[in-house]
Amino acid sequence: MGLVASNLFNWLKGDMHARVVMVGLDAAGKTTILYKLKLGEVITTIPTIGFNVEEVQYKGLSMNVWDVGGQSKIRPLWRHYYNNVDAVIYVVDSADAERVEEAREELHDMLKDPALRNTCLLVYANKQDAAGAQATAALAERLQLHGLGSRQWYIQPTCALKADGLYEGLDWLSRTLRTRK
Amino acid sequence: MALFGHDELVKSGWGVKRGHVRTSWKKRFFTLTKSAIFAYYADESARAGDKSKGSVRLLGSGVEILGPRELRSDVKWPKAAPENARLQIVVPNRIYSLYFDTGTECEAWLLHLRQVTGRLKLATNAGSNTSSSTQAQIEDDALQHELHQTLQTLVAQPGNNTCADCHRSSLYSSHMPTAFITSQSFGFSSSRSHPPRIDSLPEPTWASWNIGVFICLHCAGAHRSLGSHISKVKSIALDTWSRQQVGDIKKKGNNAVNAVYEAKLEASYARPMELDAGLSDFIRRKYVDQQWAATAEAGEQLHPNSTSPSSRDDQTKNANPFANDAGNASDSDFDPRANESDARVLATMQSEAAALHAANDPMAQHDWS
Repeated sequence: MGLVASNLFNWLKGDMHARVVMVGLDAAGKTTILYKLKLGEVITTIPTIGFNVEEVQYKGLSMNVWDVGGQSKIRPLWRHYYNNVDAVIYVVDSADAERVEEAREELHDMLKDPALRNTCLLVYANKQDAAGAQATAALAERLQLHGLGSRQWYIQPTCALKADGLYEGLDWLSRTLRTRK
Repeated sequence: MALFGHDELVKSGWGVKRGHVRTSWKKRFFTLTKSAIFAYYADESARAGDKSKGSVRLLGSGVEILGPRELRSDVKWPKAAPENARLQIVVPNRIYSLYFDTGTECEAWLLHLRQVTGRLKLATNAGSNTSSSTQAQIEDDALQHELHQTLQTLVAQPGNNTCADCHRSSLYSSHMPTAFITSQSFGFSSSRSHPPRIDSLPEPTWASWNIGVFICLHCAGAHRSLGSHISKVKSIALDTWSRQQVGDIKKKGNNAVNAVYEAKLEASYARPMELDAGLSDFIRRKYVDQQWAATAEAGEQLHPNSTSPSSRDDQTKNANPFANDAGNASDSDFDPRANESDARVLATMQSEAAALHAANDPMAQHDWS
């Protein structure tokens, strides 16, 4: 009962906390996104081995964002970050057409995990500024997002370097998580 | 042994371990640090007091991490030990046999043990149908092992054992852990609100397989920021490779590639050493602007752009400003300083550059020589 009251209070106050795991193939831009959100600046990233975690505040939504390295052999470690996750942010390099298929496989493999059954999915179609970047609709199709059944998902075109689209994505995430809790 | 000074804890947890002298099975609290020190305690308070029952550093030759399907047969396991939750750590004079409550926990330990010891390979032996390890990956394991060996041999060769871009000297050794070379911790602590720091040993443990160079972690970061149409970056230890990708890089290598991209770069040129202090810019000028390329033509021939957009166009029908005819490859000058074998390599680099990405069939055989 106390929990309900506290949740209600937080809801009235507008504050909400969410745990978010951010994954995707290597070099998709996950760390750049995380620090653009956190610090508002573009940092020169090196490949993430292990993870970065930051608390990101946006419009009353407080998110614990885990950014996990994407090299193929460390992808099996992603699932150690799935516990109690409310949402998944999946980052795709829109300009890396050769690896969209690989990105699709990893995404669908990941979403089979029971720990992620009730999570919503935000796809950042990143690097939209790059030459040859695919349009969001085409990416949604190639990632087979329409085959995700009842899961709530949203694909947002982004350019992390300019922060384009990052907050629009969080708006969706915030709305979606609020209607759930 | 001061375990948690500046060494970072990578994994800890409860499990059961077989005694060395008295071979009974005892519940222990295990810890593993980034510098590969594995220790065990009677309980967590003993750990706080640094009173370990024993510890061992898992670096050097003769160390093996064996998963549930690779166990040595000379240990009688208790019935309580789940078959998919057993592992062994082999060191030169001893074998540690451990088991955990669940296969998942065991798998986590295996991954961490293999990473800190630089022996990461796919966790195909956990025996559980985990969602993330596909059948294809399991079948690929033997191939990956072979390709990894090839890469390790290549990166140890003169020229390749120094980062192609920043020229940091190599500290590469096959016994060094290649998986953990950043300050980012793997399991428990994390930097908050600070971008990842770099205080690693720089060594060419990364590669740009389409350009054909071995590079260090720093330069790998800069390469990635160029975009995948310029440089396709992979980790030697942490990525899976295809035979073709390994073949590509084998035919090039740091000396041959630099003979082209750095042909006009004076030997006295002071290379920037830090990403934020000019190194990123240097790498962009080297590979994108090709400021120091042997000749404009040679640069264009080698330029990954001359091929990759064409394959991309096939798939996405996007107009690409960089697209040019992949069939334009023709002979061109290359650096006279390059020795004969380098020159031969360059010739093949130029002729196959066009075919590199255009090949839709990954198994297509290229005639390299």
